[in-house]
Amino acid sequence: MARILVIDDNSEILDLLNLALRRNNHEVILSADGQDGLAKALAERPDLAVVDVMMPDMDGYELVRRIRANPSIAQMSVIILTARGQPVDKSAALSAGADVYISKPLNITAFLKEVEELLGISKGKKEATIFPVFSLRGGIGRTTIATNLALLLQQISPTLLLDLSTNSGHCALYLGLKPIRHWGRLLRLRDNTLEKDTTIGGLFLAHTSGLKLMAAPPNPLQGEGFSQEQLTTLLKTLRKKVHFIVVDMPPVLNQAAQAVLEEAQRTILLSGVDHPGIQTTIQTLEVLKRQREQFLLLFNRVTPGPQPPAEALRRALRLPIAAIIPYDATQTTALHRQNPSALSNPQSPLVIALQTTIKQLLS
Amino acid sequence: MDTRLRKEVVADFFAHGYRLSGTFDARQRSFGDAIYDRTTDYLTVENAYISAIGKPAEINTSRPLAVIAKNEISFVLIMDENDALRRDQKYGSYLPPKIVPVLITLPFFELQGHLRMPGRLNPKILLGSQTESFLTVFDVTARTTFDSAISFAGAAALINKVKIGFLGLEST
Repeated sequence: MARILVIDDNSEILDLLNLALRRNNHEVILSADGQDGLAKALAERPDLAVVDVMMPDMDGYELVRRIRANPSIAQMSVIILTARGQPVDKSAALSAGADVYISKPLNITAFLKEVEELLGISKGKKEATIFPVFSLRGGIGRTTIATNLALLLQQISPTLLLDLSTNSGHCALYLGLKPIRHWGRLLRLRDNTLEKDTTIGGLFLAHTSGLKLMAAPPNPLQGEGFSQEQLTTLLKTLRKKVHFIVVDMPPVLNQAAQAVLEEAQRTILLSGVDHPGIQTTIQTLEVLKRQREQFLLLFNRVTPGPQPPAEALRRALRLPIAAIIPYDATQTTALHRQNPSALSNPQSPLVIALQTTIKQLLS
Repeated sequence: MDTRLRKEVVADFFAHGYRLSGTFDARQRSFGDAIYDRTTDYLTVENAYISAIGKPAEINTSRPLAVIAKNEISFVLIMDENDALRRDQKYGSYLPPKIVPVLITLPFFELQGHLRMPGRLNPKILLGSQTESFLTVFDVTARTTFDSAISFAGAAALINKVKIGFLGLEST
């Protein structure tokens, strides 16, 4: 079904993986060292590479870095397989650009499951539910909410955070990941590539929590981003790969944003509690009348001061309110330290409010 | 053709601020038997990969073969506790082992884990009165003293007694 390159200096591991992958109808290419493995990756262009870390001439981290640095093979999915099984090793593997890290001794069933997940060929898998975090007003913590929401959903089931910002998105920064791969590369490809599971999967960045991120281009986009058709096709492919997709939406109603709103089951409409914030929310609801039923309101207070009563907000907007997040100065500092509250401070008001929101999203 | 039985044990060896990951061929014994064996002062490790503990995931260099002086090792981290147990430690006992939580300091590291003591032994005499050079501690987490975010975990650690700064016990 897929072409898989296995690079390991241990001949027993090569034999074992060759046998297991061929039994699962994959085409297997074998290599016993890093230099040869890189040459075969360039020549054969496999869908997936399984890379050992400890190899004599070039270690696995260096090999993965070289794969990611070469535009012709950068989108390839990579599994790092190593006997070095410490948390620091996992972190190093993911930082080097691997999608998945597996420690030896090898459990072949778990390994094959990871291969299928990565190639998007799991059988009988349900399509992912899409939860956009949307606001036409900037500066009210949309990326903070989207990032923490995705991390909390990841604790329930495999989740992808899709950063759709066209103006230098910050999700990768907040998660401490380098956006060495991002969806900007897809804009240069033909439309039918968006349906190719292996191409799309190769663009994910992996966070140590297991959360996958499809990062935004690090530089502001010149010109249009995705068309509505392109994004619908992309979402169709992404939905096969995880259980939840959280979308950090751009603060505009462009074609891409409209495609996401069309595909979403529930949308978190994020609002400030100040007058301009409430006015923007009212106007947004006016424009998006058709999607009104799918909206769940979430208020985020980003400045200290008095707060209007929840009942008044409910009456003004005539929509269910998921939660009102009180002002919390630690909210952004946690993200700036690349340690989001969902992981570093599970008792924070933000996390408690998002847990309430998740219950409503999944109910 | 070499037909002798190989039993490969992958382990992390920590000594003098370095982490060495490699494979030890324990043959028909366990790694525990080999490190407690007082008839040899060295261990031969295959496919050795060396990192400084400040950057423990970064491989500085590798060698197909390395010899390690046992008395210079601070501790060895093992992923499977069966590899860490000596033959005599694997025998069953009528008395259940006493689980004693311990905190041990070593150069650059502090380790937390459990000692499994036969009922008749007092852990206080472990360092002073026993003749073995190493101590087996289970369910180990080792943190570097200069950066607590750098940690290592394993099913067991074999700790060189002469490198121990202090041994803290929660109960006896």
